Amino acid sequence: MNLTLKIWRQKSANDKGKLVDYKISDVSPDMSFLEMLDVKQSIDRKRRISCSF
Amino acid sequence: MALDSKIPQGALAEKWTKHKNDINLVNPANKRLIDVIVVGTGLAGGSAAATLAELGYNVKAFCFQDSPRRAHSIAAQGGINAAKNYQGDGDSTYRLFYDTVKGGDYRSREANVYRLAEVSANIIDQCVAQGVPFARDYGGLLDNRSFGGVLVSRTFYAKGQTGQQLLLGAYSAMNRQIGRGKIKMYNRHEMLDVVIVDGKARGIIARNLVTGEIERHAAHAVVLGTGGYGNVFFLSTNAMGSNVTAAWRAHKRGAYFANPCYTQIHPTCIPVSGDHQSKLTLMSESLRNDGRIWVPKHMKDVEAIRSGKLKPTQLAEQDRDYYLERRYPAFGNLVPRDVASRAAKERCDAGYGINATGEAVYLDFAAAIIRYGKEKAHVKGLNENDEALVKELGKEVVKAKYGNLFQMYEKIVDENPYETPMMIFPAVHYTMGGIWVDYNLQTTIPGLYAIGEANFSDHGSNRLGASALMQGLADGYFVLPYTIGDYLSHDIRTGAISTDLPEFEEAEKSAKEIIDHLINNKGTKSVDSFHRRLGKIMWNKCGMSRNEKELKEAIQEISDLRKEFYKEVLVPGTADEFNEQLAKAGRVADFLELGELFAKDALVREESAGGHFREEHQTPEGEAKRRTEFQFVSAWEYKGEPKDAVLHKEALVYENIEVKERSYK
Repeated sequence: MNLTLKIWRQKSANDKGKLVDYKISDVSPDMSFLEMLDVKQSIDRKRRISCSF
Repeated sequence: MALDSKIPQGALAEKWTKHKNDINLVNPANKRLIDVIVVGTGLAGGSAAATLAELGYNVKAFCFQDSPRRAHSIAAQGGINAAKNYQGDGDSTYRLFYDTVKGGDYRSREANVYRLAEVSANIIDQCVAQGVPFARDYGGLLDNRSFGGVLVSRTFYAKGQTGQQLLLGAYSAMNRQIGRGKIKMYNRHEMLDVVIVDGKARGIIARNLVTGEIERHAAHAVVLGTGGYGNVFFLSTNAMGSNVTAAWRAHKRGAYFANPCYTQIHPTCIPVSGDHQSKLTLMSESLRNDGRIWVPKHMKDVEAIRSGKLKPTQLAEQDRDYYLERRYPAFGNLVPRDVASRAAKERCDAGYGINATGEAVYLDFAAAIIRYGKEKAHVKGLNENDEALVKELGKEVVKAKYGNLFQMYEKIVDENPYETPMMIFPAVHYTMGGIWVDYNLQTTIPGLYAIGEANFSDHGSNRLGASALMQGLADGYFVLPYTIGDYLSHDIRTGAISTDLPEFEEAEKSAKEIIDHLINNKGTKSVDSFHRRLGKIMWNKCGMSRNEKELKEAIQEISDLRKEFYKEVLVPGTADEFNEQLAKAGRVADFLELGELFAKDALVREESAGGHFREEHQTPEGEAKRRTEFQFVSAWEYKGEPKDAVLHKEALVYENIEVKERSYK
């Protein structure tokens, strides 16, 4: 499955924060929501930013 | 340093009472002058923090979760054992003691286990007083059910969520003390090091997981209730956050680590479905009270089921192999966990696994539904031969007992377990090994205590079901609060410990160095990728059965993997922010060291005992074969690399129980 996730990103309480789009592929229907986010993490690794959810 | 277990003299049944009478006390006015740090706020840490604060000590409690209510104790399902003999079926303190030592395959410390059995009854009273809603029978009395490895019903339960209810009890008790200001609660804090001043544990270094700040906290004593290290296998029933870091860092500071290879592989978990999975789900052992475990007798039926041509419910009774009932007629489906797990592996290795991966067996409730249904129909004066009615009534009874577990199963597997048997397979669940402690629950570092799953002493090489909650609460409510007083009685004039001491500075520096290294490493591979690879080595070579060749390979592979980790790991983000990946990297780094010691311990232990099964040491029937020369606790001293760890032995002496072949036939 290919999905587009809209994830709220906010570095700290003082930061304004915004929704960021993530396109992810290779999502299996057997995955839990959190396991799907693991797939998203592999994208983050490439971008060298930490996950904040 | 020679190990001194400090077991009190005297008859077994008198030891604890006598010990309590002999040890020093701290008077109430002096307790106000003493600070205690409790790390971990599950059942062990939470109950200890609440009780110490109630006694009058100033407590600082730490957990890495958002709230103590998120501790993994919450996931415990089946129940808590206590020798109350409410069922009048012959239970007693001695029998609970006996079952626990036998269940642990004669590898636990006699005096500790007896004390555990002794205080077990108090726990139930304490929890009922707190308002824990234990199941009750029709007349309003507390109900019990039976668990594996015993012949009585002594397990108290609250549906399939006993851990949650008990944790809420401990949490309420804690919160009362937080409200009074006697406990200062530090949520989302991870302990990174223990600080030792003049040979005594005098504080910890913690990282605020929200801001990334490194903090120093001082106290007169430190208690670790930080749980087990099952997540070294990556896939386990433990919460994703459960980790060994606090225990391992304490080990690196001088606390011996005992029996790391004793791991419990729980027989009834939902089978692995694919590579993406990050955790496994337990189905309570209590289900084995009513569920019958089987695989098809004939290979053609296995193939038909796998390909979807045959439904398990269509398979005739005589074509099913109820292998536990066949091999162990006396205990049947209620054999202890290690035995049940190995039996499932044996059938699946022989090719009889019933799902696509070949790693699953059935847990079937059809017979129980009919049995309960008939009874209910009889009671109500309805037609016992009306099959549909009997089934309906039976389902109601099963629902009342295990409803939430059935619902959980259906949500995960998308099959209705009232209509078709559950599929289950063993998974890593609990670690009997842990930090070595003496009778007072003190580690080899004076002033550092370990309680609950974090220590090693009570379950030997295999824990019986419903005994983890019992031990966690026994340690926290009824043992540690006494024994720690003996130690603290020498600290009434010490005064507050300063965090400006050079020892705190050094410990903080060393914790920061680890973090800086991880965050500045210019690698390319994710933290999780290393954790998964470690888990694979552990499961394949240090799992349900072990042998010399593979253990040696595991040691080498883990050591290589660790080197690669430090070279290749990529941790995104910075150190001064909320950074889950950084926290995880530190935990995986510690798992990579523990894993190697685990394999080394398993290699040295040339016998089979409980959860530790060495293929070289088995009876002709494939049962675990103990060796008398290994009747000792392995306590490992840290000396740098895990390969250099030094083994200390604590001989296990059984004066009140005859050591014999463990048989459940």
